[in-house]
Amino acid sequence: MAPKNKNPNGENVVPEVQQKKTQALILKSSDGEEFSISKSAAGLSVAIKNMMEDDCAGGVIPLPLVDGGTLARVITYLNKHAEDGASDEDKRKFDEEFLSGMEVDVLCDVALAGNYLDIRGLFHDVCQRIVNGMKNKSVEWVRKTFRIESDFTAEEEEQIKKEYAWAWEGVDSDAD
Amino acid sequence: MQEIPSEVLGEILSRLPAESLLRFRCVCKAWRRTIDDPIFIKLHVHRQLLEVQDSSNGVGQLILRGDLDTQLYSLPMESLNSDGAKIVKAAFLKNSPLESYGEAKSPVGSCNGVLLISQSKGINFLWNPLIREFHRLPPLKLVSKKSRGLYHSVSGLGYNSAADDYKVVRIAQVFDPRDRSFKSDGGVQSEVGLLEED
Repeated sequence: MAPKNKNPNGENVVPEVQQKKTQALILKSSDGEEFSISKSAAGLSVAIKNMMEDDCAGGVIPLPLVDGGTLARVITYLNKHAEDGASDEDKRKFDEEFLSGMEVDVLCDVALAGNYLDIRGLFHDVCQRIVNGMKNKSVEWVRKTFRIESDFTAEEEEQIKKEYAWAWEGVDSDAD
Repeated sequence: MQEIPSEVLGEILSRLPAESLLRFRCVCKAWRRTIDDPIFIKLHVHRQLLEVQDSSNGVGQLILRGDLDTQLYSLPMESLNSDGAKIVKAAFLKNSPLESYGEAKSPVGSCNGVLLISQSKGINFLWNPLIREFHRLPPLKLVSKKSRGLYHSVSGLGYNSAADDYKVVRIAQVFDPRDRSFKSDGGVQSEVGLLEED
């Protein structure tokens, strides 16, 4: 063991770089679930990184806008992307599998968390996936999926439809 | 699912193709407001251009003129990269100004997805194939009765980011009946296009 890895009392210490990596933070979801995550993985979120730098991260970071299920997904993503030796190809494959199993409402929650925690890569990928799923869908499908009530009258709706009637051609059927 | 805040909604909508957006204007008033907002339209153009630059996405389109001069087609740039003999079908572009006005010289320019089209009788159009809308540009003021309508002209299209508008520049050489020749001192006439991008 090299001397630099011993403290003045002669005890072994973990080198600082490694220490930073293995040190853990606790993230607390809106519904009170607590998750442990390494600082290096958590640091991929710009928002958490800023909180760590501002020293607000005195152990537990509350995330009042992210529920437990969503936070668990986000942490899975962060852990993979902070993994030593994971190649870009590995990460790309992981992302593909990770997102392909999610329904639109789950994707939306992950997008919101990605935006709030400022994890750009995750946010962009999730948005793109939502877009791919909805681009050929009907107006009714969008309303149902995003739980939106139309505030147009039937006449107004007819008028808007008339303006670009061709955009209604080639829409997928609503059956999933 | 939580309600989607407007900035996240904007991020999602700005990635959708124009055709989907024109349909989703019908979802509710808030969506229509977002989609019709000039700032959103600019974000959408910007994002589409980024995708064009990222060649792997293959969103860039080649515009072709068909056998009949009134028909225009588009072909994804990406399809030109395919190996070997592969038959690629070009998509017919609907509602081009040529369908109503006939006889294209050819598309003479394009900028941010807007095409400048010159019709053989000298009428110029700005055309946005994504929203299938065109705008007829006023005739050249330089061409007077005196010149008996005889002139050569060349046109070009550009985007002025400071004024956030499209500019068509036409340079004309006008026939001078006095010495029966074309004069090149006709000058430059420039016009501001009015077609909005979406």
